[in-house]
Amino acid sequence: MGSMIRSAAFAGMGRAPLFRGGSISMGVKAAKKCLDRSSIDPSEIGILIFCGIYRDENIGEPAIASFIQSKLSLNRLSNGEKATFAFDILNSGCGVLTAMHVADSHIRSGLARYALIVASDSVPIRDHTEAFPFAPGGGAVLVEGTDKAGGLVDFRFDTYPTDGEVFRSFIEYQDGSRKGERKGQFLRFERDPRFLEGGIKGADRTVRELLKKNKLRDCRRPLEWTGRWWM
Amino acid sequence: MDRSGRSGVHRMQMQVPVSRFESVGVKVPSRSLTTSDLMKTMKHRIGLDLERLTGIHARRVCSPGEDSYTLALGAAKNCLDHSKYGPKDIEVIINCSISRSKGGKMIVYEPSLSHYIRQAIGATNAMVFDINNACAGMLTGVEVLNGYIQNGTFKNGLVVSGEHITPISNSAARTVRSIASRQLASLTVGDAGAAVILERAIEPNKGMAVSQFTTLAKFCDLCIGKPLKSEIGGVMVAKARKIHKVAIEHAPELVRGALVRAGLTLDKIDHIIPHQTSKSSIRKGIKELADKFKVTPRNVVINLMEYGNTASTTVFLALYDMLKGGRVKKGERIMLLCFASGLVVGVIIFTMDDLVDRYGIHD
Repeated sequence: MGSMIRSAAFAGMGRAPLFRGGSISMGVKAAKKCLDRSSIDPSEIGILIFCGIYRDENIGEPAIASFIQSKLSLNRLSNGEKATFAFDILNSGCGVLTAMHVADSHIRSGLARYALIVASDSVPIRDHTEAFPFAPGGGAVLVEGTDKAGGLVDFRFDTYPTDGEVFRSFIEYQDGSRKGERKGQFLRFERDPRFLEGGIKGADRTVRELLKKNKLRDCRRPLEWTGRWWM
Repeated sequence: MDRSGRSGVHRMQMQVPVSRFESVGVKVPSRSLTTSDLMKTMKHRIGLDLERLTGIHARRVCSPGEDSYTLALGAAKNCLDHSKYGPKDIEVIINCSISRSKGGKMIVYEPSLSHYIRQAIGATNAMVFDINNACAGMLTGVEVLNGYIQNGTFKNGLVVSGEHITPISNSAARTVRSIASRQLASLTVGDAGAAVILERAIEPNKGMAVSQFTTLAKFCDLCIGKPLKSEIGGVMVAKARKIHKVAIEHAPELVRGALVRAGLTLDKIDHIIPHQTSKSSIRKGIKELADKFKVTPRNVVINLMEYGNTASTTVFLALYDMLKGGRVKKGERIMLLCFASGLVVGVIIFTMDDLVDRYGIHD
């Protein structure tokens, strides 16, 4: 038993000149589109993983996945036959791939038949977020078990410890004692200039190793192009 | 049936490999705050004997320099001290805390806290990521790692959590005006770290018999925790009575499902370790289970008297205390039971094995 992507969808800014959607509403929008395209019975979804980072109002609990499960009306109550387990994964920009790895593992272990992965990010609290460096957006992927050849072939995750601190995001408190400083807790971002270069080098090495392990030919375009696009 | 749509019998016929707890570790702050001292900090008098209501005499509280990260790291080191594995043997690290404080920052989002733990313990070969699932976090981490071990992706892994959650008590002390306050439950929490190492069990009959998790998402808004905007710390708003009612209403069926899948009955469980909320809630919940199953559970573990509700770490803190106190024997069956915001109901049933040999009252 392996796993494959059955459907995927994206929910962006739409036509509104000023996007006001929160991460949950974008995630729900993307998930609904994804489920519509899949033509499966949504109650068959065994696990729902949310892997966005910047969540509405910086909610710490419950898992954002449980809000999405509720809004999608996915087995909101267990009836003994159908049940969905929802939780969040946080792994920076690797969250979606990590969630797919977990979904693939759960499906291959026979713990779930379908896994819905949802990611969405937006400014959590506008006046308590400083220089949010990302565009808001939401996406969803439905992964299903399959006995056919193909599908998700392999994963590889490497951590480059020296690059761990080159991009940081955190909430910190300031007491407003300095001139012009507001009192409160603020979401902040710190990016080292080495982030782009380190990210490209690390990604290139990881992809090379994965291709080598699976005896696949390396026919990629130079990663610098991709890097310029997503950084 | 489980989430895959397969029956437990089918899964047993498949001879799926199982995982086992190889090691357990904890780290608790040395500073203790009694409930009576906490109640003295209340801005408004509410005329409530919180200790009598909850059974919580004291909780551990972080001192300056301690936070979610240091507690998780301390627990991970303690876990490795009890393990046959060295840091470089660990294949995956999953941090599962709700609180995410580190080095003066209230919440750290990027990189993941597990990344920092990996670096600090020198687990250079480990994949890392964080899970967030309220108080069910660590058990969710165990469930995810169990899936990995069952299909052979990893042979072992470390699930860890450090909860620096008492800042919500401070905001509750400022705002709670009556016993009906939705922040009352924030006064029951305590800080603690816990860690477990899971590995593939060599003997199929030993280890984790079953794990079953369900999210009753209809009740996702019954308990919400988030940071404050203008003040330091966070706030947790909970409809505690409603949560208790929902848990009592739905838990027995979900527990029954797990028992059926494991081919067991409740009387075959030697110890139930529930999520530690309050003594009265646990007792009422267990009484409901006993009435439904017409069996009185042999032993229900309650250790919140000295620790309070330590969020995602409670069940492993209790398990560690049992191991250290020599209160569990080889061959005994243990049920870990959690109820968490979401509303998540999780059940893990496992048989105690050689793990018990590395702990004990003289350890």
